[in-house]
Amino acid sequence: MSAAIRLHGVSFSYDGHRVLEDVSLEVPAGEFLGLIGPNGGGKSTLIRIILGLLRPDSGTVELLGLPPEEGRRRVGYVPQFAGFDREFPVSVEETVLMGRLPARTFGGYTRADREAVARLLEELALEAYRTRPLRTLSGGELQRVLIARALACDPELLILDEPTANVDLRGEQDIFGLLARLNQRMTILVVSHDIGFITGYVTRVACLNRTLLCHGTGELDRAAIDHLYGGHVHRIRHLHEEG
Amino acid sequence: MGFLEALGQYPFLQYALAGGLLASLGCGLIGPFVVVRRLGYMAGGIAHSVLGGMGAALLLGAGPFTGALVAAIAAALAIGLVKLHLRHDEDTVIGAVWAVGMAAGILFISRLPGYNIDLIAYLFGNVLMVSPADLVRMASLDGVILLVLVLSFDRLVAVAFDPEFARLRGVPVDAYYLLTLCLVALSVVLLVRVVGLILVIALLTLPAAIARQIHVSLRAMMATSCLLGALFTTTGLALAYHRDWPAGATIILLAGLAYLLVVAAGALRRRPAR
Repeated sequence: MSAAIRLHGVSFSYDGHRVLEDVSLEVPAGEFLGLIGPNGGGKSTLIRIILGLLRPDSGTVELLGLPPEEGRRRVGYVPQFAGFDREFPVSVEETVLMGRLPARTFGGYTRADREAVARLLEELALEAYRTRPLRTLSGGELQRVLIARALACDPELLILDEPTANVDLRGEQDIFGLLARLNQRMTILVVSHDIGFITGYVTRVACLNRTLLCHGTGELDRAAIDHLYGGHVHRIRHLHEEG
Repeated sequence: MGFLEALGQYPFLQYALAGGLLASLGCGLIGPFVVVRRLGYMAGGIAHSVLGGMGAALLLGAGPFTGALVAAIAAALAIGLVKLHLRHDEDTVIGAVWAVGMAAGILFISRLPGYNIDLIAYLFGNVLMVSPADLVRMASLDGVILLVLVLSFDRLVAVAFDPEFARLRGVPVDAYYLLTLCLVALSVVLLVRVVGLILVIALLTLPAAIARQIHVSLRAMMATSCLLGALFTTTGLALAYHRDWPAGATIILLAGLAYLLVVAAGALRRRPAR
């Protein structure tokens, strides 16, 4: 089985400002990879490049062995909360059905689509919310709905962008527990700013701050911290040595 | 003579009522999209550009309806394509289409021999002048809108809700965005005959905005918007007949009043009890 994601020498700039520099990454099938890094470190940009929503200035991208525009059809994507309108008049079931898109050009979703969504709502304990409008859901409930939508296409790879940003601690544990369970049948890439929490679940951590460094769990050592947060940590250590 | 009695006697009132109901259907179906996607300003731009199309059509000897339809679709596609491909500020583009369309219309109409075109009727509508031929055209526009919605509703909603996700799932998002704008253009043309191009935005957005206060699904919003539109046009027409008021303006004022009441009632209900 080939790698789920293969990036080679990817660089990207916004208006002349270099956001990603020579990023190479290979995510083997079955892995649970955590991508961490400071705000503005390029995490969301890298995700958009992997999904083919942005084209890199240089370097190559392969998604499930295909160009991203083709490979992404077999990828489940859970975007950041902030991106969409929670007031939109749509129910939980209708939202999850969107994971079955593109639907028929004429006629829309099929009965098979609706049955697949019903099974998924049951699996994620969302049956009771089926007809509820999105705006009545808590952060954790909405996040589960978005994960259900991503799963509705039976993906081989699941990509989540900050899935725990608007969720309380209990909901966070639920979500990572769910991801650990899903990891038994698919590759997972999760973006997070929360270093401490993520390391308990993932098989490998990649630190992104314009350039990329990879580590196994438990190896999140000084080199990684230095890479992410630079001189600040270094200066504190220096003070300790002096004192 | 009462409105109902007059309705039985005068064909022009029957045509006006039928025209109002046909317009209510189209704008009730599309209004919710305009409201949830915040396309009100764009709908206004499309509506005003229609004057340019009607003026050009009259100058070329074609019917004003054809001109309005061509101009509305052209304006919708122009705004949509500029937004998709040139990344210009959408506000600026809409403003330009809005004003340039009006200016072109006024220039064309001034070149017409005799200058005897009733500009006021285009700007503020004249539902009492609706002809049987107009009704056939309006019913066809409703038919097209209904057909597109029946066939493509799920994709249109998906693109309105989360275009990035729909794109990842393989939906041709740009095409459906342009299709949405064309549907808005069709509903604008439907309404111009009834309330005039200046007042179009009100009847396109107010029934849907009221429906949004009540419903949490797009389908229910559509049904209620259609009924509300029918209610406003019918009672507006009756009131205008009794009082000898301009019909388009009366319809809009009723819709505005109802919207105000619903918003006020909602605000009172949501205020925490002390």
